[in-house]
Amino acid sequence: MILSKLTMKNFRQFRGTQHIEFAYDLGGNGKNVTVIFGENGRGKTSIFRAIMFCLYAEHRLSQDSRVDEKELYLVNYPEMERAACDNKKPVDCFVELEFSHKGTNYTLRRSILGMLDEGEVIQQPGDVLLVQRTKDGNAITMRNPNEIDKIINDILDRGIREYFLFDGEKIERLTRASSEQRKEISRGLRNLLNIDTLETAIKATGRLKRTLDAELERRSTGEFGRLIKQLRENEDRRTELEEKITRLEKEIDLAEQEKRRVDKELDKIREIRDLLDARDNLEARENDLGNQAKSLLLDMGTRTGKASLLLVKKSINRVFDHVDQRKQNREIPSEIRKDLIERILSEKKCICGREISTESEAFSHIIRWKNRTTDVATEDSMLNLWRCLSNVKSHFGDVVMNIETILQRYALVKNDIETTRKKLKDINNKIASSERADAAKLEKHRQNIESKRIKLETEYSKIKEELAILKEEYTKLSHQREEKEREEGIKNELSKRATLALRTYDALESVHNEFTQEIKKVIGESATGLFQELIDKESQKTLSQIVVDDDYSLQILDRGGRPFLANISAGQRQIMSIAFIVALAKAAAKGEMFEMPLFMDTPFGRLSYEHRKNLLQSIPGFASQWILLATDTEFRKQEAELLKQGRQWGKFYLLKGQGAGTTLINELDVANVFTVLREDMEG
Amino acid sequence: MNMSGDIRVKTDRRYRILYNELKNFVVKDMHELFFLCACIGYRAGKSKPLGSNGEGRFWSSTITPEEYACFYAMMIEENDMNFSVIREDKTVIARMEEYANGGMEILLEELLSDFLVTSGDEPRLDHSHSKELPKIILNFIYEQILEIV
Amino acid sequence: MPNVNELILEKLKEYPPDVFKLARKALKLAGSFPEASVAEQLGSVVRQIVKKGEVER
Repeated sequence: MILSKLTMKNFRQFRGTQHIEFAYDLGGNGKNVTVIFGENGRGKTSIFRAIMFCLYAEHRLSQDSRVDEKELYLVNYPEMERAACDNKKPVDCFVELEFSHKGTNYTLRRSILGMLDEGEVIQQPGDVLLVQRTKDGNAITMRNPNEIDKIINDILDRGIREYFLFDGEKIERLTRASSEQRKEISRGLRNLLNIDTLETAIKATGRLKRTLDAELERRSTGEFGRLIKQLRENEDRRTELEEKITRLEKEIDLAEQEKRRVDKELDKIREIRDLLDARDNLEARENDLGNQAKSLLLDMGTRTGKASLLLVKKSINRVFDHVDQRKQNREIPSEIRKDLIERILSEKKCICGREISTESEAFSHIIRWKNRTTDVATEDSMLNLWRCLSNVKSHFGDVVMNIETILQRYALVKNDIETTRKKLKDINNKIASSERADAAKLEKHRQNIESKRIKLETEYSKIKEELAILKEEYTKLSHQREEKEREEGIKNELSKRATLALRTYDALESVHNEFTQEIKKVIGESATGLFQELIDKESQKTLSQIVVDDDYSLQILDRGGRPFLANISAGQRQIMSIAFIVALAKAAAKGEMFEMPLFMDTPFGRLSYEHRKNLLQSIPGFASQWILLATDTEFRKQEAELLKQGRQWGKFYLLKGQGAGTTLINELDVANVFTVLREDMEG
Repeated sequence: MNMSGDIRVKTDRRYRILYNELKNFVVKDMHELFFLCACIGYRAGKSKPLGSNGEGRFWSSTITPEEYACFYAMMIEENDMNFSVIREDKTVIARMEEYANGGMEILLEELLSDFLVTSGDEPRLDHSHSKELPKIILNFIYEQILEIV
Repeated sequence: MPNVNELILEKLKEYPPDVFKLARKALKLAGSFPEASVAEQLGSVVRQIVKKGEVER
């Protein structure tokens, strides 16, 4: 899908009829970057909203989840005010999008009417019209919303539109190590896989299995019957727990949302703003420290092996010294083989032929010599072992130091956590006893939510644990069942059907798991490749791979393959999220040319200059169209210069405020943008 | 002294779950836990035959050369520097199984008892408060090492 | 990305023939019917497969 022109009339801040033409590469001139520039609140996100509204009749973006429907008006407010005073007619608002896809040009226009009625906004969906023009010049007009919906979804599935827009919120969600992140990722990957059919098949086979097993349970007796019953009870319990988990996840989400809502409310109370800021910082610190502690614990787990060697240091040294001594005494490797000495003794004849008497001193010498030497095999063993033990000994020094260091670091981190928690408690108490009654009330409510959330998380962990145990028991019982079937030669037809259903269910589940694992791997690899291009040189040395963990959380590994997420900066986390989203978006475009416009809404927030530079230079190459929405603090002369160097920058639009609720779109020639951009001292 | 990889190393069947749980948590893999237990058992002079409770846990191919070398060293030291005892890896492993069995008992008694729940006769970790176990184990080893040094 | 359903069938070919047959049918039905209906229809499919298996023996 390539966007060519967006026309808006009275949509959000864009009063009157205004348009934006997007830079695109069809002409082969390589210019596919459009910059839309303006201060916050001037309508950058509205442009994206306009497109979502036009394509899908969507009023909401994911960031609006907690915004009241009443506040989400799409029709320009000042225009509605004017109309309310003037002719009292509803305001006509539409968005028209011209785009092309696989050789066909489309013009889609969607309308909405809006009016103010006694101060309240009333909006009503209007018409929708789609015109398709094929390469051979034929034009088809459609007005049926359902038909239009189907065509648009075929071009760009609703589920994938998530990846159109990279905004700060989405990036932020991905960097949080929380159930929100995991859900975001899990959803993204599932969308990609497009395995709804497989999932339905699995559920249906599961049902079949349960039906047949229930029948089998009714008819079976003895040990076999008992096993079937236990299997069923196990499954029932697991289903119950899984439902509980889903409920808990929702409750935890709600608690987190509620907490954020309360935080927003508290933020409005000036008197406690300092305390709130301090609390935010402390909570972030607590989180960071928690992650550090986790990381250290993981690290410790990898060191137990080497550390254990030291437990038998004495024995190792003793044996090593023993062999070493014998080596020094030249007893090994022996100069004369033991079997030769034994031959001499048995034949009682020296190698020169002289007879040796058993009473002679020479004979005694030779016996003593024999006792000191060893056979070849044992000698080889001793020497090999000596070498191995030498290797083991070489680790000793390092190991002790490493253990000490890591234990000390952990102790420091734990100490820090304790201190931070104490400070947090103090601040919480201060806020709770604030003179502002509303602040105190909100704070108490917040603390309650927090306790509730912790309780929920604990219950969640417990249930997950129980599920793991039950799953293991189920596997055990399944094996026992198959054994029993074989033993007792249970060949009745019902039993065969039940077994077939079971095996098929397992097979489908297994394939599902394989796919999920594969897609995680593919995305991880793709994200890693992109990440390496975007990250600064210094980080490239330490950070090696992005992986999607079993629980769908994002992790980044260092060169040693160890988890490193806890130790990366906010900027690096942002780059990681961007790389991940681009990887998903690329995969969502079904591996064909990445024909999907990429909107990035102020992505530079926490990024260093080097990161911004990498983004500006790399992203135009990833996507067929890049639409960058930026503020004046993010996009300055330096950034413009970098973009210019890439020679892919085609369009620049300035969003200018024209009084409250109104924005004017001004196109500027890319060559002339420097006049409106800031210069900044820092590079 | 071949460092054979085709021996099925056994532990008490009651520790099946524990071995699975401690893997990828306080140790990288099962052979590491086995090694740790064997060392603990050997140091304490506590060996305990598996008897009929033995159950295959992992293949000796996962045992590292360093661990094998230590097994040999322990075996040789125990037998008054007689190197012929390490000729047969099966014998070495069997002896280490006994030490590991004894060592696991020590580990359970002295360290893990606070972090377990027992289901039947198979101990398993109480995950709700065993998050610091890697540190506790490492610390335990460290203290033991300090006694030697 | 190539057709997912084709890939799924490829993987299922590694399983015994009767499992493959039932799985393939389940997938085909799941493309057009809801879960409950698929489960019901599979009831007779599994009966047929088992019966055929016995006859062949």
